[in-house]
Amino acid sequence: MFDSFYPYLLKSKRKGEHDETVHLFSFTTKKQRQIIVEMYEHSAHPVVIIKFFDKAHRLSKKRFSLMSSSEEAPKIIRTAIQVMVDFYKLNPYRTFAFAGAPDADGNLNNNKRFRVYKGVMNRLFSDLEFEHLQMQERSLYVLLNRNYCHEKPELATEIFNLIATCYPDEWGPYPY
Amino acid sequence: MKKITPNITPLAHNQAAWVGTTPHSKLNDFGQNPKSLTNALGFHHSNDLQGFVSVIHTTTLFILAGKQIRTLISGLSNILLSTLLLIVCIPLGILIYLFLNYQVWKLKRYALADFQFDLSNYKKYRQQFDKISAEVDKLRPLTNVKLNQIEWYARPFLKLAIKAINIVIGHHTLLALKMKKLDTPPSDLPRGWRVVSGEELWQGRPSKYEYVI
Repeated sequence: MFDSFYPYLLKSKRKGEHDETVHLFSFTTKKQRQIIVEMYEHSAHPVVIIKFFDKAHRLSKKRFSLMSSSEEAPKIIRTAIQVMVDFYKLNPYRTFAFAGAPDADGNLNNNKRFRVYKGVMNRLFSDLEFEHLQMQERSLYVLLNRNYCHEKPELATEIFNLIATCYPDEWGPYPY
Repeated sequence: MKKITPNITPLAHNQAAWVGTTPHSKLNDFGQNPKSLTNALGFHHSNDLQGFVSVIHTTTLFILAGKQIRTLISGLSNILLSTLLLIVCIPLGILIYLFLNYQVWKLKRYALADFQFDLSNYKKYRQQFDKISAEVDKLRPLTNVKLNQIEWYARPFLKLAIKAINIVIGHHTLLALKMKKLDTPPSDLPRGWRVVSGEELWQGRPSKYEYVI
């Protein structure tokens, strides 16, 4: 199911709001849909936030939440993961973070996307290189790099603070 | 015809002697001396638990078979028949005893080896660990059996069996601890975050997939 992926291209690189580098990748599916994968790479710590959406929805505010109606979803997700894997190969100290965007009804607690991502992470990533961290209530997932945080565990806290500062809406402090 | 002599300096020759290397012609495919004790036990695969698993499996089979034989003999109400069966079983018993002794010896040697895991063998390591866990579950109830609770002829076997079981359980605990080390959470995780343990990840994944990282 998550075995194959589409070939992808690096489209552009730009500076983000928080001085991070945004790498923009794109690939075309079998049904000629263009998918954009955004990788937000921070310089303070090797942290990468992954987001992807259908190019047709690029102007929509809900572009991350819109569901793919086709059976292409596993291959699309696998391609986004492959971008992540290739990113890791370039720098094996990278930590990855992603969020399951809310469902159509706005549900954020252990939503459909998060459950799918959780399953894929479980299948493809061992706990040897990464510590798997989850916040089910907000559908957040972090693959914390052991190689980077092994010597100094406080780096993990710094990474979480960095993400929470840059993306307070999704990754901000737990409110209750 | 000119005789070709190997160009070995005295220093290099001495170094070879010092580290105790075997001449290349006598080395096996793994570049090791096939006659050495560790290689005879298959220790050149120190990151592979397969040998250990198969020894545990055979030992478990023998112990459980021995338990069945003992139940059979002690369950016979006819004294004459049970004595006859016991006499027939003596040569078999000696063989089983010797074999169990050999298995204990092998287990001890394996317990000394340091099994390492990395991404290349992690999945296999986990699978083999599960197999060991299954054998441990079969063997554990036998640790509660007291020597004085059973017949005289079964005591030497039980002694050996308990020895073997203790080695297996001890090593199983060590292997589990080694993997549990990975679950140590980083210091001061923000509120609401949960570390997913290796065991939980392993239990929840379909086995046909290979890890990419």
